[in-house]
Amino acid sequence: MSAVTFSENHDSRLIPYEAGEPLVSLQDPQGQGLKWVYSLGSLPTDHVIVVGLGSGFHVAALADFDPQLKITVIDNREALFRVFESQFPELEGRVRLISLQHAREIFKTELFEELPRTVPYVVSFVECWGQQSEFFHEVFAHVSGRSLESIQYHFKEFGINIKAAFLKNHDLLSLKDLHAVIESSKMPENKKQIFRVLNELVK
Amino acid sequence: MKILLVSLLRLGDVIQQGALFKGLRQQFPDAEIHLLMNRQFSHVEEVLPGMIDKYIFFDREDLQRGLGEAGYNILYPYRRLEDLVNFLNQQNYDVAYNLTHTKLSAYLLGSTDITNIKGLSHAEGRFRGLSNRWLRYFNERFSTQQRSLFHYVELLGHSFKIPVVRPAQRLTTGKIKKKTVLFQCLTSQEKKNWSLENFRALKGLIETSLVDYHIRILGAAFEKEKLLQYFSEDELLICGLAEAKQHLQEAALLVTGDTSIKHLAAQAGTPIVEIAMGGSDALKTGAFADNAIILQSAVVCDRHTCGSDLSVEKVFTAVWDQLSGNHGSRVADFHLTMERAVWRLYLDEDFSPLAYEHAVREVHQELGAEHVREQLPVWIQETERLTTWLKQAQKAMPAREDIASRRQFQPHDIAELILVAQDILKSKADVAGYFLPFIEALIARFAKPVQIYDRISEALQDVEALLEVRIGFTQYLQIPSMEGPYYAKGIGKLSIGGFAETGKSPERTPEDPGIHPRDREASST
Repeated sequence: MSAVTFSENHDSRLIPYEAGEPLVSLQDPQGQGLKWVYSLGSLPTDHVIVVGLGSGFHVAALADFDPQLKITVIDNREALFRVFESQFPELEGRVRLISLQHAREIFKTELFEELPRTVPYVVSFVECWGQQSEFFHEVFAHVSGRSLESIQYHFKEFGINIKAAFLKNHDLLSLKDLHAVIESSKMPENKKQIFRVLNELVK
Repeated sequence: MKILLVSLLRLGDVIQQGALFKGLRQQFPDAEIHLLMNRQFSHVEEVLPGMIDKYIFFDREDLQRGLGEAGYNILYPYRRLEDLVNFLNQQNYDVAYNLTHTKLSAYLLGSTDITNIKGLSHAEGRFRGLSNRWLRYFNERFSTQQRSLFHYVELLGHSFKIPVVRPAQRLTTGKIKKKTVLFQCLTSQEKKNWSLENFRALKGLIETSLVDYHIRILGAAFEKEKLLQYFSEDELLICGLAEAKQHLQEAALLVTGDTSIKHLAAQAGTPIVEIAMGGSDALKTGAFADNAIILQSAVVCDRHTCGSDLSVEKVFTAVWDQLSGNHGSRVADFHLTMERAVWRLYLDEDFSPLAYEHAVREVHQELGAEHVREQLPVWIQETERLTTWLKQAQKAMPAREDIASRRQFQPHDIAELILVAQDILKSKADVAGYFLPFIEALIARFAKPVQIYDRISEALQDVEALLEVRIGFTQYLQIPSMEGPYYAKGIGKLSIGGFAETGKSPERTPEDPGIHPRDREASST
């Protein structure tokens, strides 16, 4: 992993760099964060997972946009967390930060355990991913429940035989990919009916 | 009593169903009626006052986003739907009516604890609920593009035994009828649009010929730009559903394509001229009102010919008839009226003499006894043709044992049946669709050959039952038409000299059997 460095911009804001590239707009980090928040539109859940902390300006904008929103941020660059905490002290306790070395570590977190119940919406600020694109893609797939391993966990309560499914390991999977497995599984009929309704919606 | 209505359809369908909601409310005045519908049409609430106690919304768009966008957790749509199902279960409904008739709605009802479901539902791996002939007919004709003899609302009413009244006149009393003619020019599909140029020409014609009337153009906000290319801003009435309803209640007439506004007008009792084209089937989903004139395009629709037979002059004539109250030229279609009578008897499964007599009375009322008598020979000929096809098909049926013993099924096993079906299709004479299930059975796919046999056999039994009703009904029609001349002539034209047939005097002679004078005296004392 390449080292993250920081330098101040004209506005005395700390801007992170990875492999010589800034992880946010140098001129207007706040404006960029705000634009990103508006581009998200209305959020479907009251808990949002942000994949990528970067400079944190986008996280601050999100917190400001919806004061009731529960925010969790995931990153693998420890140095970014410290700068974020010092630059946005008002967000202490408001934003939950999760630091991972490897994407698969997410499976051991409390957050992952609660995902199938709370089904939070996942957003990503790609501009801050820098050199960590692969890591963030993997994290995104896991926390959205769309990687093969994550699906196995998400569908535990339904008792489906995920091994019976022919699934491509690298794609983001959808319910449509699972329809045949769900149909052939022994799960309570009323639950199966809900999946059938959803399958009708993707036809 | 707590009732759930499930209507996960488009706006126009839900507005049309208003007649059913009203009927249900009259049937169960004290019931608590809830309606489950698509959230995107939640504004329909404004135009269905007093019919529904609670609206529950199905977030189709949210669910679809949850299914299609990667940022949503894979179980997000499941959880949202689970919440809805749990909510429905908490309501403890006594009965649910599935007015939607789609797989989706069947699965949804199948996921609830509601035990008394009327209409389509799914349980234990199969679809259920086609419990009566009306529902089966609805399923046959509305799941496909097949022609229906009955209107959508009428069919649902019969299927669920909900009394439905076809609006005949303006329902809102006390409103002053303005001399305003409203145009709803744009429909949801381009091919259903009578061109804006036509509407503009019609406007000119009305304004020059019927000077008392003024025209206003109804439209939604997103239609404004398009409408402004043909009409001035002050001619437009850009508004929501509730305001549109108000305008309709006061208007003298609505000229419209196949739109949800026409259903709103039908319920408000506003006279309507409907221009049905581009795949709109007026019989199935035209304005459900007696005071509507529906101009159905007979042209096979493509990009250039769609509605080309519906000229501005033709529509203007209908407008004139509506505004002048001149409906004398409207003659009920003989075949449609007769077929509807036959099918209604068959679908109701009421074969009592009373039912037949009632059907005959209705047909006479609609068509006139004289007209029926004139057309009856043609009708009988058609019956014979249908009967011949049935006999040919029955004769061509292979033995069940032969079919049952086969592992695989080959088309030549039923080659003769296919020939009969081809005859029927080529003739284009089975307009009402007597043989429709038979033909569908021939092209259906089944796992076992014997299943095809059973389906065909069942379809032919249905045709036989239908033809029995048709023949019975024809006989009932013939009774008065045979007796009529005797009675009529007997009273009016009989000469004192006696009956022409017997050559005898109508006066009794002592040899006549019957009441003896002495008996008569005895009976009078």
